[in-house]
Amino acid sequence: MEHKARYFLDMVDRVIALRSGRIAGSWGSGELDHTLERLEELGADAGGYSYRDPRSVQGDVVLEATDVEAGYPGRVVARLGELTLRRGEVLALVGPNGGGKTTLLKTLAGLQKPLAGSINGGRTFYMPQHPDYMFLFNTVRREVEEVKRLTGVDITMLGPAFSWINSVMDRSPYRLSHGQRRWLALAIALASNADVYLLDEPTTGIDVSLYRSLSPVFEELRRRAGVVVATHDVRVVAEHADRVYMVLDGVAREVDKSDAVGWLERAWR
Amino acid sequence: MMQSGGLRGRGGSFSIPAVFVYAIWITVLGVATGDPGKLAVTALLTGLPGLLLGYRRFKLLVILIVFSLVGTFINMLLLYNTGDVVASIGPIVVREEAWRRTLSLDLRIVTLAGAGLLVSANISPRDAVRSLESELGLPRGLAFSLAFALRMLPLVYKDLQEVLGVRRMRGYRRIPLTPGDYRSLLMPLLSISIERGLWVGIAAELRGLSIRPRRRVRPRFKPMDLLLIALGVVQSLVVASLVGV
Amino acid sequence: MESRSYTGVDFALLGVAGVIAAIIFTAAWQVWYALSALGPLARPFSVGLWFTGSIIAAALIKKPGAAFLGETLGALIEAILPTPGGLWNLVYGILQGAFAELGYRILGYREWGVKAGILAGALAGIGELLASLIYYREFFEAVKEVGGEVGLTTPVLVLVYWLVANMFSGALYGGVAAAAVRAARE
Repeated sequence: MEHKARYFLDMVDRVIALRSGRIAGSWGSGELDHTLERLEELGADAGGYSYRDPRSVQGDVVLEATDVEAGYPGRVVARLGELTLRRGEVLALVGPNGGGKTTLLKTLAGLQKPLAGSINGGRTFYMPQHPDYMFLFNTVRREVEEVKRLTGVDITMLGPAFSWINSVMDRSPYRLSHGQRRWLALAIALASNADVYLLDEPTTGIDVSLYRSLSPVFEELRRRAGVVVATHDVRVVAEHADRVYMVLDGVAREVDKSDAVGWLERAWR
Repeated sequence: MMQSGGLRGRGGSFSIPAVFVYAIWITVLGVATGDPGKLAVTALLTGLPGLLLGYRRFKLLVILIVFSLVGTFINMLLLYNTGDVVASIGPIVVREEAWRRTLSLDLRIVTLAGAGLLVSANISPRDAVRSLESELGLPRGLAFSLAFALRMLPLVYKDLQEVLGVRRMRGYRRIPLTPGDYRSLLMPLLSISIERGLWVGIAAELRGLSIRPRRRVRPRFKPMDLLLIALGVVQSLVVASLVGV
Repeated sequence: MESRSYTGVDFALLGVAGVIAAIIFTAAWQVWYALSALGPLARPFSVGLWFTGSIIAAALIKKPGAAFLGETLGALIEAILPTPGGLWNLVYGILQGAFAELGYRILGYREWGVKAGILAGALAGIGELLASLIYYREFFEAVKEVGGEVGLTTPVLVLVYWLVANMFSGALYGGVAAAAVRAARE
């Protein structure tokens, strides 16, 4: 079971697509050429991504970091020479697992003190990798009401793609589907009106239709603030990132976006 | 507050069952008696060494214990300051009853905390599980639960930090003062850990947790265990009043 | 009727209850110290936090013995961690777990929700009182005197106050813990 089907098509003999508990399609190895398109129609994550050229953003500076050492007392996990983030800009942090992406992200968010260096900027909001960490109440309704009470934002009005929320208001947020939990977590983040959003692996384990429905939220976050996103997902980098930093062997360096996309492609295969 | 007990090797001076049994026995002695003179002996022979050995790895805890000793004293002064004057420190007059009761309770706290720290300082969590299962007869399933729980401890502790971070980001207090706060901390920790637990449980079931026979090992003692036995006998005799103090 | 013997998943869930209980127990010491500073009569109101190992385990596993085992396992891990109580924690765990288990037993091992959590938590308060009466008996005698001053005239009434506070705290946190499990369980 894997959502990122395009990387596995070479290895399988038969593809079976399930939809709402029914087998929606089945293709043998002879017809694999058409499978990708068919899968994408069904909403499975078979497809590729569209590469968008990085923009040059002129918004005000919302985050500035210089000579930062992130980690724990006595153990530096990641170093970062220089980082400037502007409003409207999406900066992706990529690199292998355990390379210090999350530690760096949390340090930039102000949840961890840097061991050295300086971090300045506006109000930050860190969104952890697991959406469950984000919820504080036992019904979706309470979450929505509390967000409205604290921020004045009604997250049920975020758009037609979010209309399902009205049918789950009395459910526990922990009982929503994985994708719905992601949506809700992102919506809560959005409502916080921060200047900088720091997202840790926001697309782990979601299929292509959900990814498509999350994209407008990313765009909305970017429009209002600066976004730093730690990710393995080549789609996120290719379609959203303006700049890319790679964290390798404990050092974060700015790299060319197209190089980073190529690196992620190879790492997946 | 928490140190996730770095896994140490098995090279301690005492055997694991000996440390366990000794600590349990001294705990029983420390609770059995309320006599300050007898408790002074257990505090000196077990409590103090335990606190000193534990101080390196559990500094914060030892400091907390010292604080609670002072706290007990203050409580007793406020509550139970009757009898002859024992001492007067500036405006504070300490009377006999407060002094005697504080002494008993504080010496007991030192004894029991020290005994507990002897276990934690000498035995890594992993060795504790192994010994409990194969040498002290803890049922297999429970040993699995304990081992799994200890393996998850650093993960759940990390979860807790994430949840506390989010609380701060969303504008709520970090310390769970009310039952509502408590629930909002508990739910995400449970939701994530249940998911982990289900898969580990299924895996354990498939590997035959319930049918694999348990391997009993006879406890292997070390020469230094004699020191623990001697200390245990001395303190038992003192508490049983065979030796006047 | 479902089997009452424990499967691998049950033992794993018991581990989940144990580890979360241990983390809560460790944090509960801070609440306990905070309330202790307010005075000995305030202290019992935090103890319900320490009973939730049993409620979480019972609500997760829904089998006889879960409440007792969950509480005892949490206390054992707390003792290994360690916390100021040392191995005496185990006595607390065993007594509280046994009384919480009694709550589920009274309900015929058919109820595992919020109501059962309230009952089991309240009963666990009796177990806590027993363990505390032994450990802090010098202190308890002192409280008798204070009780006299604040209007609780006899030692029996002090005992009743202590027990009611314990059971109230246990019922409160027991209900909350059971509700949290229900909200989190998929």
